[in-house]
Amino acid sequence: MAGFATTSVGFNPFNLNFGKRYNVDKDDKYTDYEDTEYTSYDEIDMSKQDDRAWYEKVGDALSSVGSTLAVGATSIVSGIADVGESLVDGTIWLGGTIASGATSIFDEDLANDIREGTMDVIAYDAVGEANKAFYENTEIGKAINDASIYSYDSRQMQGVRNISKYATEFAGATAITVATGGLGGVALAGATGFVAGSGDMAEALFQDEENRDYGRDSGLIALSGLGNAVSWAAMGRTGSSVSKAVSVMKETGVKQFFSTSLANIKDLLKSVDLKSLANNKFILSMLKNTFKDPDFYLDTLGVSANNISEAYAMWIKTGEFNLNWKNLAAELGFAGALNFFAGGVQSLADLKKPFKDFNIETKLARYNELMKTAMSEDYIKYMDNVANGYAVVLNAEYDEVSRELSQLTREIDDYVTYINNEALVQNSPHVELSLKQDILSNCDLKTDELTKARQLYLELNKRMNYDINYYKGTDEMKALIYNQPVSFDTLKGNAVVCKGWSELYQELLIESGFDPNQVRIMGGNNVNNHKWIEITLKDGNIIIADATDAINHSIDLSNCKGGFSTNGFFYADPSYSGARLNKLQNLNLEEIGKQWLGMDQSIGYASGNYQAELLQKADNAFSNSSLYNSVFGGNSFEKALNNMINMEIPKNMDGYDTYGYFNKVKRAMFSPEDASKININLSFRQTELGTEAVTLISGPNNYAIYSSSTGRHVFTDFQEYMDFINTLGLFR
Amino acid sequence: MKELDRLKELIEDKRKNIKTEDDKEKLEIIDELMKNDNCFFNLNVETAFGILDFLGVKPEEALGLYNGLISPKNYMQNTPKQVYYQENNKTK
Repeated sequence: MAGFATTSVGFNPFNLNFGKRYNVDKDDKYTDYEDTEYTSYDEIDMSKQDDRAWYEKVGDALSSVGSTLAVGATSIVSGIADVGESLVDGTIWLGGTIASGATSIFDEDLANDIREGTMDVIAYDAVGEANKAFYENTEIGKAINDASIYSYDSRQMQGVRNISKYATEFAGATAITVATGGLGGVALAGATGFVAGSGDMAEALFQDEENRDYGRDSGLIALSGLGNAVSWAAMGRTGSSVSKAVSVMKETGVKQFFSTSLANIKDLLKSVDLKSLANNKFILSMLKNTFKDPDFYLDTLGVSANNISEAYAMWIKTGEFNLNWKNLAAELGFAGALNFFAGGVQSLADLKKPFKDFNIETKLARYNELMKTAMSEDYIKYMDNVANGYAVVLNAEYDEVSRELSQLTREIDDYVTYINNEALVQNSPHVELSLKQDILSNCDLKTDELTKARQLYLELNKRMNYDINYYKGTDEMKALIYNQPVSFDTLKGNAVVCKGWSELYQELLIESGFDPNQVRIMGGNNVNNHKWIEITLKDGNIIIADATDAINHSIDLSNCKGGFSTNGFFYADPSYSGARLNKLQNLNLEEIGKQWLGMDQSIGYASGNYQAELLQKADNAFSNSSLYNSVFGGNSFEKALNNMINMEIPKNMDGYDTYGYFNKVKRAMFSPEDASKININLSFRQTELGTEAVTLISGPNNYAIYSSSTGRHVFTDFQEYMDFINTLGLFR
Repeated sequence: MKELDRLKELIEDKRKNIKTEDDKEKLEIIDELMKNDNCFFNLNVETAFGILDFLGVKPEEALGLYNGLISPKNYMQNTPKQVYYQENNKTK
């Protein structure tokens, strides 16, 4: 189902193509566009019983649905406008409260005037009045309302209005959160919900002119605002999920996006009154179709992004949030409504039943004739009967709808469980991943070929070492190492030579989706021949990848472990096919390697610059200072160790957190030689609250123990340290 | 984080008093490093003190400032959970 991208605020539901539009002349008679006048329902050939039966079906299928849709449409738009009005009312109430409070300091009368004026403005139900004016004071409004199964102010259409309002609020809260990028938006959605909720309550209370009281009512209004804020924030959290999902979609593809969207639908279904929804299959179906469509989320994001991002940026910059709520609500509502109607079109198509027996062209021609007689009392009575019959059909389908809904909910539940389990397995630290799984799980396999090949190259090289036995060994040993087939299934350890590395990289590329014909191992077959990989990309260019050759005096197996730029990954036109990188003397592969920086930043291998190179630069620039010696003096190792283990530990860090932390600090504060004198171990102990982690640090003359329950204990005497450990009942 | 704020203040002070091309290059390295609030965990301690020295930190202030930059609080605040777990131990 196609979505609707929207930018305009103006929205006339009667321009939607669900029925033919009619003019009303000065005598209140309906005419078609050709000015042909019809006065009587009976003038149409209705003499035959079979035609009458036929008309009954047509009426069922089109007329009542058409009129009901028209009323439904305005109810939907009213619901959308209600949100806008609530936001405006809430803002006025807040403004009035602040203004009157401030004014009362110097002029109580003026403050009262402000309060009265505020109440009058809020009390006016602009949307309700507009509906009333249309349906009760215009002939076309009256005719549509009468022909509709449900009148505009019926309980059912109020339900539609409420559903629409809810859907708009949901869209609004979601869009705000999406547009503001996640959790920051949850608070904003909550604040918006406060304004909308307080506006809603303010209008209801201030309409009672005799009993209204600004001060007393404002308490209730604020409470209502708070309640709605919670609700909007909850929806905002869903928006946060959508926000994440949109990012995920960009990063990992559509599947994950759908799983998150389905979770959102599940949340929505949980939060609405399913029974009242199920009373109207059509609206229910529209709602289902709307929220199943990712375009809905994207459209709401699209229409609100400009509005919100500008205001949000201004908010961050100045602390003032000046969003044009009215425009935003209208635009969000417009997007929501159009998607809702797209859902409606789909729902009509799903219903099918009323249409399947008829030839569509004949049916439309006769329907047009029928509609021209809409003023006939007979026809209106007849339509009432049809409408009643239709309502009976709706009721009869109630159970079916409930079953469908339950099934949908179950499917969503199952899918969400599946996705959650999948995520659990992927994220579970208890699962020992094979080397291949480990590499693949660290790469985005849904990205383009070049990025994927680059990621696999870096991740493989981080994990593999060169097999030094190949150089040190005898000829027999060399032949044995070189000739043995290497795959992830048979690999022992992580030492390889050029041939083994090429076979592993080839396996990863094919496993990740490259066609086997795209990946070739290059080089000769003699035990002394070098080997590397050449990949033919779909864009016609090639990648030459060689991690085991010394190019510009370095090999990428080492470079990748240190976070350096690479020399052995070359993207080139096909004229380079077959070339060994080490032999390309005319190219500066070191410089070419640095051109991967942008991609390496995007995949997290490099930050601002290649990490290792940046640190190396920093060492060269700053390591000759005397400040370190001034601070730590002669016995720097012991002082530094003492300094480390006496760091203040926040109470929210447990023994596991400190284990990670002290290891990190050890690497920063000590040379590899000094660091080897310090042992930092993780152990566990049973407490009343369960198992807890304990960090144990031991260095020359300095010992420390840390856990949540024991706190930190520092010792300079080894025996005291051991005695204390023995009281803890540690286990590994 | 007051130590991080203090460091940023020192960097800005230094920026206003750049005198040589060498100073400018050093400041560029610091700017690059400071894209990561946890950068002092990755720096060799002597390099870290060299940076503080370059920024004009006196010996009596240096240890407190350095300790703050590599404090557990800074570590917990600025280390993304995913990285944190990967770096620490895969068994958690």
